[in-house]
Amino acid sequence: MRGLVSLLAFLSLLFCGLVISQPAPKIRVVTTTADLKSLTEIVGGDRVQVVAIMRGDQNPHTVQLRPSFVVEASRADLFVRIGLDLELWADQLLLSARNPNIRRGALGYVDASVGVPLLEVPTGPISRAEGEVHIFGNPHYWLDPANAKIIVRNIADGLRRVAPGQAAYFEKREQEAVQELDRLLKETVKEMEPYRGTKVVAYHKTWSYLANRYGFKVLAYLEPKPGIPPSGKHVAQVIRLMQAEGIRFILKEPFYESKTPDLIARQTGAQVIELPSSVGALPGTDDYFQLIRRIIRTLVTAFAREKVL
Amino acid sequence: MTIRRLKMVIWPLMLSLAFPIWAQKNEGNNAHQEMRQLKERISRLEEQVAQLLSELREARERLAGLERVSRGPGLQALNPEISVILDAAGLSSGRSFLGRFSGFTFREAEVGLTADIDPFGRAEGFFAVVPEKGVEVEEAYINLVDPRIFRLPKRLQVKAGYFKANTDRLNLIHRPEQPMADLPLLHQRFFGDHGFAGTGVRLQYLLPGRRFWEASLDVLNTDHNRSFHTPTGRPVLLSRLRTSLDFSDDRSVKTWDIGLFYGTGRSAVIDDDHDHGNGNGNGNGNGNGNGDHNGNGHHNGNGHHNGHNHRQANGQPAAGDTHIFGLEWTHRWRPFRQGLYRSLAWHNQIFFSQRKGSGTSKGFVSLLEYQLSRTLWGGLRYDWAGAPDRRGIASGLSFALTFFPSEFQRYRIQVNWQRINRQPVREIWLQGTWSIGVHRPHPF
Repeated sequence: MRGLVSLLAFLSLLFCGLVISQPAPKIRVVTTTADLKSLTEIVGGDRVQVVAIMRGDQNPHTVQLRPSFVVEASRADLFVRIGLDLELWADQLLLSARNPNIRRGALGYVDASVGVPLLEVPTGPISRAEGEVHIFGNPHYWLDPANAKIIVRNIADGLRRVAPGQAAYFEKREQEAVQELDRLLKETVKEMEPYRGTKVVAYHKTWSYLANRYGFKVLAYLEPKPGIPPSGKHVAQVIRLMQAEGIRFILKEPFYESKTPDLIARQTGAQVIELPSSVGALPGTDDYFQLIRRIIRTLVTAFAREKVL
Repeated sequence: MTIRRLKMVIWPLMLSLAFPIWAQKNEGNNAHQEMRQLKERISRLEEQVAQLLSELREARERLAGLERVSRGPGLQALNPEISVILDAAGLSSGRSFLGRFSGFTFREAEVGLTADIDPFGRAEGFFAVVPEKGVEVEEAYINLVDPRIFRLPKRLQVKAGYFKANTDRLNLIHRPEQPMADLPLLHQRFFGDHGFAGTGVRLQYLLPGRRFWEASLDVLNTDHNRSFHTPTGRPVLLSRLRTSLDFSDDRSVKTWDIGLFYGTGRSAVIDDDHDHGNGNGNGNGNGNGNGDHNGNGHHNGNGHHNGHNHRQANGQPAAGDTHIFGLEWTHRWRPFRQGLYRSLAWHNQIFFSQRKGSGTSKGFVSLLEYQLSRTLWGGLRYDWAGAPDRRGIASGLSFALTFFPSEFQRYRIQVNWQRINRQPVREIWLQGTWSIGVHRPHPF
């Protein structure tokens, strides 16, 4: 009898040990963009399993939702989005996913834009005459590392909400991420310091936050209005402006056509700078830190070359 | 001795002279260090000032935004989102392309109202304002987005109201947003000019697992339909199973959507008027027009074809039930980087219908949509359709070119080569649609 009790006690302890030694299941996170995926992985470490709906080389306006994303979202514990009105398709995804845990207002819903100081918030009457106007402000805020700190905080808050037992772990990683972002900011601001005030034109209003942080000026856009393709008349106006202002740089994202920027470059002698606007958009941008360093390195190289010439 | 004394005097004297020099040098070093520290401090302060100024600018912009919000709509923010799509078209049709020009007509203004009711449900309504016909309800339903309040599984979605039947992808799309100006012959012949809609309930369940499998059941009463007639009593049952295969690689999204459909319900009466164009019956082979031709929304909405005795719905039930089986397959392709400029959707669909007294009929449609540039789409469609109500065979080839200056405007030219009940029909469509207000993406 005593032997049986001992055996049972041993087996119970073994079972408890096995249960305790089992790693906690990973928190399933679905993010809308690759940038949010990278920042979530930085904060969540090995406690999270993250799927991004968009790739870095995709235009956020032309994302083709795949039914497989519905399945991912239906199983997710946390959903992280850029917010504002960048990914309107995300609402349709959330509706189809039938997962109340990640619906707007639920514990597992993170709008990364909360607390971000927004730029280009429309102040007058809003109309589609302004093109595909973003009614809450420019949504490309992740391109400023100072805003990335706010995103990291929002993601960490979300992770703490859905896994309160692991709050200390996420707290620690959040602090480390913020320190790392501070270092990134200091390093890149210093690199760009000599080029403050440099004038550029851009294809789309993607770079407002980046320009604001690093001090270069976007004087015109190839799209006459956001979301409206460049017209011949508008391109001619841009060329005249570039010649008058001595603008030597055209910024474009990898997912926009090259024909128009190349044409303008030939007419004005300017350089076309292809900048990745999201993680994974170009080789060597595998995480958020690499993305920002790649952007700054590309800009510095281009600006410096023009200075030397 | 004297020298020794002298040394004793000289050394302290030298030391006393050297000390101030040393001290001065040391002081110089200290000052230099202090200056360097001050420079560093100034540099840091400059950085901080630049950052503060930048933050101040951002704060001002943020404040401006907040002011706009606070002075904004207030409680009106709780009003439903409103969208309006205007749809106008012109049609030339007959035995040749320059047959008879029916003129330009305003087909409808589709007004959409959508809002969350509460955390558990969402209401959506789409109303077509049609000249001379007034307001028609296209869809009006509530969607139970969190069924757990009724202790139902969370993967279940419940829709109740009047809505488009879940038979296939094309039937779910509203008319102004269809990929072509007219509905495929298959939909016109099996369901009617506006597709298939009815009043009832839909249960839609997302099956557990790693692959997308969705099963749905529609229980609907409908009268505006060419296959079914159940305005009251036993409703039509429609079931659809949908899955998706993903073949995407590093360069593009490639998916297959596959759907299986089965529907059953009381048959609609065989309405011979549909087969009579300009008074000529189907069987005599002399008709200039036909029911299908009349059946498109253009004519139906405005009554352009005077003399056509067109009736969209059937007044009487026929004996027995109609069963419809459907299979659809859609291939989608969109490159990641060039997705703004190139994409393709190829939709194929076949329906088989069986009803007492009419035997079996079938219909097929293949529709290819290819994006040629950022603003231009080409469309190619092949139709072939019999009809559950024994009308003859209709077939056609259509080509459309659609220009989108922006996401909210669309201009289309479409050419149809059709053969309806052995009679050639040629059509040229001109269509324009304009969207205003809140325009949310559609279900996929």
